[in-house]
Amino acid sequence: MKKMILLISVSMFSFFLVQAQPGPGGEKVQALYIAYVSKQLNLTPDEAQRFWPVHEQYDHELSALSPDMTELDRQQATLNVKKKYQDRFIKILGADRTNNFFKVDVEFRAKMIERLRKMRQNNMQKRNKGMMLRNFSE
Amino acid sequence: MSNRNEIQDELLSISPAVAEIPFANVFSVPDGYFNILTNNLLAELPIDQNFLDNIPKQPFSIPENYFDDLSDSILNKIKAGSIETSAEEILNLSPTIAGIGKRNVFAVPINYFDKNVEKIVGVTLPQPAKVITMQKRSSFSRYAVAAGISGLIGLSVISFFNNKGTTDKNFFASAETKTAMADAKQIIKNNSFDQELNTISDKDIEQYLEKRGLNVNAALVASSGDDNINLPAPEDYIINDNTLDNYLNKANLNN
Repeated sequence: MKKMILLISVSMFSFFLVQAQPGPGGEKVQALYIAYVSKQLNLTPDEAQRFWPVHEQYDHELSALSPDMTELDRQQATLNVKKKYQDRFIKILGADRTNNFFKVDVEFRAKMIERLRKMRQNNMQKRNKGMMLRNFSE
Repeated sequence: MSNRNEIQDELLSISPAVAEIPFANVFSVPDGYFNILTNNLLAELPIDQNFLDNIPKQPFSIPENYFDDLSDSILNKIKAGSIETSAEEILNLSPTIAGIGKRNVFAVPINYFDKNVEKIVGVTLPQPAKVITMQKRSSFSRYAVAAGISGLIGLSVISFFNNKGTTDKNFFASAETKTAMADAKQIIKNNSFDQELNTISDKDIEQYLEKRGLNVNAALVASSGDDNINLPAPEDYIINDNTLDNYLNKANLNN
């Protein structure tokens, strides 16, 4: 009996362990996102308690969309998910702030893209400079 | 008549000899031929005496006029009251059996049952069924099956929550969320969004955006509209597969 309990708990634990693996490198960006949205929407602690679990599901559904879709289909599917969650967000945030949330969500992405663009440009410039210096010294 | 003439004409064309035969019955039999035919035929048949002698005879026989008198003789017998009693009948059939009468012919030795009760009971009582021992199952396989089943249950519970949506409690209980929430609080408290943003690697951002279905390269192109480099024309993409890469290189956006 003891053996059985041990085996069961080991198997359960291993499943939970596998499930609980965090996505690599995503936590920092996620923390930034939470901070950004919370600040822009002025989320109260109570609202945050209700908002983020729903947002988690929303995010999960968006991530689960097939990457093989055509661009138009993907945009349509994304819009469908957003509309599906709109009512649930409105119950927590009200209509105006829900509208604001979708804007803030897009803003955050734009910030990320902007940051990525700058980093790529800096890297390229550094590389170019290095090449020029190498050419010069040769 | 015309029909007959046609047939005659046709026959003439086929065979003139046949056509010349007059239209009359050419067959005839003597008078009363069929009346005496059967007798004539039988008279012609040879009689095989040997065959007649060998016809099997009926093996059973009864007295003459037996059935004529049968019913009378039965009735007379009944009327005469000559029916035997069962004892007389048995006596007629077997004098030995009739001699036994109604006596009990079976006997056991004296105290037979006193002595042999145990023996008899031992024989008559149902014997315990033969026990066939089954091969002992290894306990490991039982545990393995139990572990497998419980694992499946665990997995289904997890997938149920994943599909159905994380409940509030589960969401805030996960280590990942706790860390992210704590970090986010710190960022808000210190108002350090921009500083934190600068510490994030481009790979992290790419992963984050791609996980949410964004085409990073396309987004980068779209965001570079304010640069002084003209976007490629649509046909450029058709002419040269590397147009996007070239543009990104020009805009210093490529990896």
